[in-house]
Amino acid sequence: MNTPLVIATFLFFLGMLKYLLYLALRRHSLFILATIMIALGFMLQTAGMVMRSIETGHGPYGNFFEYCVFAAWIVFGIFLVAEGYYRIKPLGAFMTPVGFLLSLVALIMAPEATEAQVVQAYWFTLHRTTSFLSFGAITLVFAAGVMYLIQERQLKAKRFGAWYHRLPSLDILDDINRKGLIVGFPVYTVGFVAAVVWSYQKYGDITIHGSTALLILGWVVFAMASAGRAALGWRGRREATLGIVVFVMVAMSLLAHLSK
Amino acid sequence: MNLIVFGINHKTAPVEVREKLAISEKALEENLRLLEERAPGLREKVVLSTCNRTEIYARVSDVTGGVDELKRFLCGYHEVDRAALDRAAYVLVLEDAVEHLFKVASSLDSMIVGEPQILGQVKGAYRAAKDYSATGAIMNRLFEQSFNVAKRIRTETGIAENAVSVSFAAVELAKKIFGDLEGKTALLIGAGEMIELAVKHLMAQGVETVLVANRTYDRAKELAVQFNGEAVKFDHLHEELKRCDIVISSTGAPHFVVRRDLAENVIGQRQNRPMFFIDIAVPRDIEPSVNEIDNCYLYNIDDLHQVVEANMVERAREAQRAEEIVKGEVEQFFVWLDRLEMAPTIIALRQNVEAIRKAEVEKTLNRLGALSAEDRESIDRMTQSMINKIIHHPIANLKRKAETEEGHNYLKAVRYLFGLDK
Repeated sequence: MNTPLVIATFLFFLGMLKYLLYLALRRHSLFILATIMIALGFMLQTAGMVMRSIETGHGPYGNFFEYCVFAAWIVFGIFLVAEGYYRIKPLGAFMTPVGFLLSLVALIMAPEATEAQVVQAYWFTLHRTTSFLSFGAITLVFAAGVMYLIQERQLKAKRFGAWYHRLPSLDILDDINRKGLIVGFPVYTVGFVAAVVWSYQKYGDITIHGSTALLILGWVVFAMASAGRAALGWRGRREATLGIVVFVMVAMSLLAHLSK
Repeated sequence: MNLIVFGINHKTAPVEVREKLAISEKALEENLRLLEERAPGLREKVVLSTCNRTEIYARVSDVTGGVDELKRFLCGYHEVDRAALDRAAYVLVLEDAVEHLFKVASSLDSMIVGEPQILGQVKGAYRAAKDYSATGAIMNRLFEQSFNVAKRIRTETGIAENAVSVSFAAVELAKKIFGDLEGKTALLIGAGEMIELAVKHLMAQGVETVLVANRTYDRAKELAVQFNGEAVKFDHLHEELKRCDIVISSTGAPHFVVRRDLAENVIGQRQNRPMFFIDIAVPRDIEPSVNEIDNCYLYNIDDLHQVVEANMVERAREAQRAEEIVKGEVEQFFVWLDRLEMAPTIIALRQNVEAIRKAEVEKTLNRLGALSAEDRESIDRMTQSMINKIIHHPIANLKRKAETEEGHNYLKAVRYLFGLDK
């Protein structure tokens, strides 16, 4: 077992707990501790991934264990950047559980043998890398979407509880959604195309099964959200909801896909 | 050693007394000089004077004596009636004094809790005292720490974040919707005191363009001049609405000025960019169901009051958290102070006991008369080891306790029990 990854997962767990506690108790010190834990965990995870890559001789695309670690790494990386940039304190409570779950799944799955021939395939590697990158972006969109829906509810229903005071403005949350789509959609599309090319190269035709269907459906909603925003002036609640739907689909397709 | 604060503030003294004791910035140096002359019991001192308070923070060795000197000085210098001063003044000692300063600096003791000016005033008072060399290591540390406490409370609690007046509540809501108000456009329909106040706050937050509509166009023009905005014709409202982010309405109209279908139309034209409607009119100007339109937010006067109420609760909660921070910081200050005081206390204790021993040994030896040098030495050694054993535990425990919150009490007890302050 890769010790840095185990410790990193433990740190992610503690960090996540602290973010959730922060949401409830709003102690500044909890927030600071949470960020430190996640940052430390991220560094350890980076070290663990480098160690593993030296061991196996290839990037983290070899098997399910590696995918999960890589996806978690991207989620935490994007989270740390977003938290530093937007300074939204409750963000951690929404994003870190996703990253933690991925790390945990990785630990539970024994690092099986690598599918060596897969690692060599250029299109396949491209597909995996871009898919994970867009997954990170869409996780951020998801977190912003949930916060948007809560804050919008507070403002519409005129209930001014703790959420109203703690969550940022609708404008910022909508802006995250916009940026997440701008970055996420093209990258996701590249990953999607790469998957098609790879499948064609390998099997000679393009087969559609469960996980692929989800991937395509995810792309369609993703495209809808992006186009709606760009061309039709969609924004706010509608985009927040679409962002959440995209996240759920992509997350499901990712899991269905990788666990094959 | 004792730290005290002597003072009066808006809670204890009426303005007639406060104005007499107020010291202008220019007179501060003169005041410190006179204070040094007439109240020599004050070893270190900082004089803080604002329109809400006059307070003297000082290090004294004798509290009663120091306070008395101070009172005499204040009555003489400021020509205040002694009885009035006695009625209004408060004296806080040690922990209470330190806690008080921390609260003052972080605006927990202010008339409007969370107002930002007081910190600057405390800083100014400290700088003046420091420049005049009226402060020493302890006051310096105390005041520097009070600035940190204020900063901590500002960043870690939301004490000053939430609006507690209706017009500020409108601004706060606008910020929750739009984030930044820079470059936004506001439209006023009608007129009134509250509407004008709200617009002023909005403009202070960056709202760029103000449009004014009124049944009588001339009145609109008048108001527009006041806000450096533009007057629009009442009949053209439906066209103008689409450039407005914030709409504040307060007309005397008996029917709705903005109906749901109009708002729906406008939102479409705006490509769903959000709109914030504030309806302060009674009867209402804006159809209530406008709030149901996506990206439209409608608040009437009751809703705004509700925000204020929620914010009051929130502020009280945050103030409580701020007080917890203050408590922790007070403890920290005394841990530092104890460490500072411990060495002198232990030395004084040793010297004290040693002096007693020497005197007693000498007396005894004189009485006993002829003794061999060896016997004399053994008596000397015996007494020495006795006192060493007796004071060993007190000193060891004192050192151990000095690092804890109770340290101060132990130091005080030791100084008192062994009579070290006499």
